[in-house]
Amino acid sequence: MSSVWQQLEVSALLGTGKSSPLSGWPAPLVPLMSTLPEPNSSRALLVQLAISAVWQRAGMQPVALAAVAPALPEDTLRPLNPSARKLLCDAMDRDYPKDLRFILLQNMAGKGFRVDARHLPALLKDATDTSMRLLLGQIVGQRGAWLARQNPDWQWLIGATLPLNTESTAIRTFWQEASNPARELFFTRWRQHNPAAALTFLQLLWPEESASQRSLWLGLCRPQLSDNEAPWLESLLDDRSKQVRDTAIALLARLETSPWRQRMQAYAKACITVTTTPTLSILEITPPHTQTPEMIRDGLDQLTGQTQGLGEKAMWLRNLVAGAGGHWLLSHTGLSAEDLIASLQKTDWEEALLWGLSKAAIAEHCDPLLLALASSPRNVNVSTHAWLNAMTTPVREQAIQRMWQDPHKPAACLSDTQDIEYWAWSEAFSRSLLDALPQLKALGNRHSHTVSLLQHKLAMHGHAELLTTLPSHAIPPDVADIWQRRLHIRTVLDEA
Amino acid sequence: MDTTRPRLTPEQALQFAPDASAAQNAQKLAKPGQWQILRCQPPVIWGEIQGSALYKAAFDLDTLEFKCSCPSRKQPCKHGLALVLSWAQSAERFEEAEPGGWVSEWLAKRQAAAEKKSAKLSEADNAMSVDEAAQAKRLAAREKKVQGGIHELQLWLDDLMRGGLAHARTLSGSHFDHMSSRLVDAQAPGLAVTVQELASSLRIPQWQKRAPHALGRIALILETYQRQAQLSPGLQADARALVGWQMAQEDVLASPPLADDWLAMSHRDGNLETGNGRYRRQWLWGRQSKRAALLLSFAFGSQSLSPPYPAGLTLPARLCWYPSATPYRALVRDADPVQKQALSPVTGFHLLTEALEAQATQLALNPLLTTLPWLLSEVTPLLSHQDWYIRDREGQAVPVDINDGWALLALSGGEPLTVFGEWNGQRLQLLNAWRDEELLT
Repeated sequence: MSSVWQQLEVSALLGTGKSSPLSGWPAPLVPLMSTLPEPNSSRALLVQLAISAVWQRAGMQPVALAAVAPALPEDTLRPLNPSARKLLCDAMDRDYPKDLRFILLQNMAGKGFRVDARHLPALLKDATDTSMRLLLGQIVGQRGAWLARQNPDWQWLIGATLPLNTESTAIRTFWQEASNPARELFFTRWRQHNPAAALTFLQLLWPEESASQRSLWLGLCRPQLSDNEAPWLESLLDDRSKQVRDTAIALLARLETSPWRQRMQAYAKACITVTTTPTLSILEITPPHTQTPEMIRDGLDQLTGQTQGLGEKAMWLRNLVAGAGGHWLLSHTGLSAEDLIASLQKTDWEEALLWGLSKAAIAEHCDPLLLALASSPRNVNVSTHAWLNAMTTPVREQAIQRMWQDPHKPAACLSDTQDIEYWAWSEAFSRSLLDALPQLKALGNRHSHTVSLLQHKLAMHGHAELLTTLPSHAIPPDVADIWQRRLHIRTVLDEA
Repeated sequence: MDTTRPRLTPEQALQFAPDASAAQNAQKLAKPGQWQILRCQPPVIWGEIQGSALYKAAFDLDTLEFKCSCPSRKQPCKHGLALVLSWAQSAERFEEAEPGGWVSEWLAKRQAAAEKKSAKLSEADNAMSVDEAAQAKRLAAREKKVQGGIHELQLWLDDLMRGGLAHARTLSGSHFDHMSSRLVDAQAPGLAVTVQELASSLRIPQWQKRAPHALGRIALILETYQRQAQLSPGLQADARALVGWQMAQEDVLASPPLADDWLAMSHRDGNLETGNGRYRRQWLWGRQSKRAALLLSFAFGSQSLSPPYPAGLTLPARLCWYPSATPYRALVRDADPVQKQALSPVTGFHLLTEALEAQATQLALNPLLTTLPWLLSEVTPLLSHQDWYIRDREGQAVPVDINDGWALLALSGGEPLTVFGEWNGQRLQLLNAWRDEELLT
């Protein structure tokens, strides 16, 4: 029939003036077609089209397709109770704050719940960053893992859901077949869960990976870094890829007792001397005259990025200070953090030394130096929020509170604090921002966007329990609404 | 709080929305703190909300009727929709109260209208023999006009076929518009639509495949109509309906009704081919009779379509069918309050070969059929070569059109589920799917 229909299509397209007689009618239709007057006329063609369309449709057959194996039954995660299900439905609405949705999903993960199947496609589609992908891996369950295997765009989820106790041959197979996003997620989880095993695996496949991949995997070893990993990191200083060497150095800089750190301290000791008088201490800076092969191996060569405007020796000094470490420098000079910074500012190498000191303080989470850098006038191209983010939480909160309370530079503190990262704010810190908000809002329209960003952070990360202790007029309505919702999330998920 | 009535879900509440902007606005208005007053005395809920004035909205949970004092012509307006959405999201916000003032006035008016409608139905039963002679004369006059239109159409088609569809594609739109207008003048608006459909089929990328079908369709309707005397009364009615003869609703409602509990499926809206209005299609499935019923409504100009029944709820009702060789289109004669009943007992074809054999049987009775309702059970969705399919347990599959195939696949998890949709001979337009009691709309 299909060939007859194709002939009919051609005839209809060409017209009766140019078409050929049709042949090959199915047997049951032959008697009917033979009754048509003037077989080549327009009327006959129209009738043939009419009958054939119905005939073809009536004889339609389905196609044969192989089945897909179904998802495994859910075994560890539990379904949401009705209230929580309703909460999640609300949270999937387009207008629902994304940060709050993240908080809900985090709470669900913490309580061992899984997402309803209906929401899986929307969540998987929207998950573009690592933190969301890792979170989804904890709450999608077997149905989600199965669904992701059907869609090439969601293959990353395999890395977020593959059990960490998977047998090593299976891990090897996964590693060979999986996409980079999937491998990245799996390695991140593994490194968190069993850092030694993850590192051993990385060392095994090291020769097979490209330079950029080696550097990437190495960067993912930053969490759970330990001193006994220093020897391997030291060996990477001879890697053929500069990317790998730089990453290894960045990791070695986080290990206080690594041989690399000790060498850097020896170089720095030779360059930075302290002359102490009864009234003051003077720093004398003598940069290295030349670069030895050992120094090059240890990373004291030209770096790209934030290097413009600095000469060669300045860069060496910068990297020496960064590598020697802030704690060591404080100990070596015997100065307080504020005095050290003031002394460095009096030298001819101010910019380079302060940059190096800043990098060291951030890597070591050295609170005294970070506080001093954040609060003193300085000439270094580092954002205040980088120092703030590196501080330990209590110190960070104190530093920011002081900035908000400084009557001389409230506007400056807004730009300094708008990019601070997430952490669960203490009650005192939340109160201090609530107290500072009226003053910050009074700065005017120029700063209104930044103030509203801060207010948003207060809503998402502030101490929501203040809702029950403070009078309603003390809390902006938008903040109160989000706090109400955050508390409701906890209550609902605790009900099960 | 009333626990006997099914609680509408927010999704079901939003199904009443006449368009996307009404739904969006309603979601904003349904947030806590928007309404001055929210009250209920089931089955009625009502409230007052400050807009450019203080608007009063009400909704009947049994009859699904809306009321609002705002000047919007949309039905339902964003206030009515927001009221229902608020109820669906958190009924505890509504305070129980006796309806008074404007609410009781509205209820009284509705009661009076319902009684009037009931009386009118009884009158219709008794008024069948009024002025039959005049009616016959009008019918004959119209038939003469229709035949004139058909004759003109046949000449036009002959001309078209001599040149072929490839040539027809180069003709201006007015060539088709003119013929379409002539058919409207001939009181054959159904044929006018088929000419517009032919014109549309010539403008799409797959025109070489679609236009011959559109042409064959016109020929089928004409040939069937011209052979009415030899056909069954049902098929006569189908041919006449497609040409444009309409049956009065009173006549349809006078036919013996079928009582059943009707499961409501998702509705589908569209624009009329003539460009002057919109239509709404909604299927109901009889839980005992296993019959499908199509509710078809139209709106022209600034009119709004009547609100649909929320998909997934069951409507105990008496339905009357338009005459046909394969009756699908129906009217609701009267109905009881909607109910929530289990979905899992509702089953259909288990094999696609069964569904296709049923199609062949239906086509033998009524070759004019274009769309068939299919309820398929124990089927699984899958993606093959970037196209979605439904597969039965014997491995046979048909392609489906669906808004979000991944949502369907997520619901299934590779396990069988039940689906409902419209089969057009080549693809299944999926409207609903469910597994256990979880419904996808």
